[in-house]
Amino acid sequence: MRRRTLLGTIAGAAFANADLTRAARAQSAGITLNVWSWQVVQAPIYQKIFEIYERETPGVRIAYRGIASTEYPTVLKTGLSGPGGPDLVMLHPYKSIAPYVRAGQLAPLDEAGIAEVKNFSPESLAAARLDGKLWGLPFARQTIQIFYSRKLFAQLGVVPPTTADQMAPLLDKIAAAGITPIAATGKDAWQLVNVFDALVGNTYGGKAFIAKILAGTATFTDPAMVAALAEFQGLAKYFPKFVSGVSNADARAMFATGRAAMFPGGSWELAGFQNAGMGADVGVFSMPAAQGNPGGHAPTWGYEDGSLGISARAAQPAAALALLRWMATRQFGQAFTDQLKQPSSVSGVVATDPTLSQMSANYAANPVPMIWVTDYFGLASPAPYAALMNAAQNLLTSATTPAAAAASIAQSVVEWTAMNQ
Amino acid sequence: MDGHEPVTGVSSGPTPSAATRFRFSVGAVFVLPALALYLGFTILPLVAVFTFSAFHWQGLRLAGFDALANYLRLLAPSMLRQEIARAFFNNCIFFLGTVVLQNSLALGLALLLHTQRRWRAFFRTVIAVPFLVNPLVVGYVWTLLLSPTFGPIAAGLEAVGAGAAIRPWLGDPDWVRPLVILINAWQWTGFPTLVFGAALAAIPEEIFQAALLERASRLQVLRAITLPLMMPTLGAMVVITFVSCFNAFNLQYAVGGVNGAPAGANDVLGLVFYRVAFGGDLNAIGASSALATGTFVFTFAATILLRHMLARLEERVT
Repeated sequence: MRRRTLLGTIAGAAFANADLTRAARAQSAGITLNVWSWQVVQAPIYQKIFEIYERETPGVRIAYRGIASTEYPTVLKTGLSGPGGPDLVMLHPYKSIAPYVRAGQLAPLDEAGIAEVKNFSPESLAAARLDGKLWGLPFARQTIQIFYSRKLFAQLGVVPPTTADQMAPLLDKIAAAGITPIAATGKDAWQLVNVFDALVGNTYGGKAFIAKILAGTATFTDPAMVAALAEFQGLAKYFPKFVSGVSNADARAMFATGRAAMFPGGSWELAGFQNAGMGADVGVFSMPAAQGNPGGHAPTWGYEDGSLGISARAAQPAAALALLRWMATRQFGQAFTDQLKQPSSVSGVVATDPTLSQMSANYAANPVPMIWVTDYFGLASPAPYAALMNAAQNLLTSATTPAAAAASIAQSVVEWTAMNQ
Repeated sequence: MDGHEPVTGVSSGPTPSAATRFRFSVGAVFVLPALALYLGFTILPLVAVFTFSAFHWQGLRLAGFDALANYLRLLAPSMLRQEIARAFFNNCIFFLGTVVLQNSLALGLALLLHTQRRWRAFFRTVIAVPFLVNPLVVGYVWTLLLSPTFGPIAAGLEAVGAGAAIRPWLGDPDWVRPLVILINAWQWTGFPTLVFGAALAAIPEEIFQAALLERASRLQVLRAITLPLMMPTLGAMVVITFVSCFNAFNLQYAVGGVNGAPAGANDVLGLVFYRVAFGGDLNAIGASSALATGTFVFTFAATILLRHMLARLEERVT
């Protein structure tokens, strides 16, 4: 507790403006800051980006440690408790931070004293808020859209839909040409949540429906959700043959090799397609809403990928905060987006890659939070995220009906809410 | 009796109690390191898990004594209980399939190898190779092989005009359970084959020769001599199979991911534990400890029962 109080005092009083940040940087000479993250393969790129900070802040060395995502929660829980732990930690978004916050392992940030907080939208910051306090600053956002092959679309003489009623003829025309319209996995359940929102999120109502759910004035058994689940099941005929046995890697390969025309998925998939030889052939769009697109922008699903927080046991809290503030600047955000090919959460950062830039623009124009991740994330039952995974898989194998699938999701919400109160 | 025992009542050497104390001290020196390791790495974690299960947790912070609340939560009607029940059923199916297929196959191979002296070492090595591979790798490789889209098995069927036989296999709830049993048997059959081979080699050759002199058929020799004399080994292998099947995780995880896809048809208790422990529950430590304790108590009790049943069967047969 004393550490937290000390850190809070430092955060509030000593870092009111950029001049003081420079002062803190100067004071922090000769120290090593440990940054822990679940992004393992990106370690060399992070280290390269951190070299910018090390050059600007003589005497500070940053040690980046990537830990396999499957082990990260366990390693982090113990690492934040004992000696030799991290100073800065990458945190999963939304309620995933609760175990660390409740155990007093993170230092709360003083929003008023950190000028860079204004570099993030309220939606982004929501991913790092809990119990009325801010526990981290966001680093990346992911958006779920539909990738398409510009080459195949041109060969078939079709264009991405701008209204909802253009989608069915588009799918039929692609299928008639002997090409799988939508490369979707049925085997890797986690990806089905993304496929579901990208394709039929508008049918259950997007932002308006989510607001009602959160307000308690609607449930997942409402006709709109049942209709979305039915539509998802109906779209299976446009998915690959034997879809329930097709892995996400297979679906990716089908799209990258021209055996499928579209791939619904997250922004993290883009670099893989480009590196697989598609290059500028990858286009992207969001599914138009039947009820019309406000301002001409189709609703686009997405969520914050996480935030960076400070350990309550950080050996150098002032230096850690100074680094965190730098990671909230446009300088870091631009390097992050350009080099890691991931959309930065920092406002105003424009990706140099035109497709990634378009994805960010689509999301910024009409963002819809993925409720499964933002409010109901959890792999264990009764998490609604897990319930949707199983429901979607059962729908693809006709092992359930849309109404029964909706009922199982609604039941999971009831149990999830009871468990988390 | 050893040389230190006093032969008469003359007190010319160490007294019996002193000798006993000495032997105990020497024994303790040899036993203590192993005992410390056993207590530290086996008993202590078990006690810790049992203790954790009696508390409510918020992350790593103890939030209060909960007595049996974590256990009652697992047993209360809920989606989690449904998943535990389904996983338990899948574990049972996995065990039954494995014990029959894997051990029968291994026994057959061991008998064949026992009669083949020339290539025995070569085939033993070939059969044993798969169990040197990590089950996660095995699961991943079979996922690739059985892919209906890019897998070589599907391509082979297509090439011979049997494309109609292609199925979603590992994505089909009806196919995934038997296929996982088959993949597991493919990997592990080598182990019981080696054990059964060793048990066969330990049976004196004279017994077989005597039976042959009595003009016993091969089947009669198998039923009246080989199997009864191998009963202790067969019984031990059934128990090992039971324990390994109820601790299953790696293969199921590699094939169906953390949710035991497709739609839980491949779910096992190990995966449920993983989800509860790492799935984002604030009280993950309490809930997962209760589940781990429950699974351990069941496996322990069932193993004792199974051992007892097998011992009685052994007595009847021999």
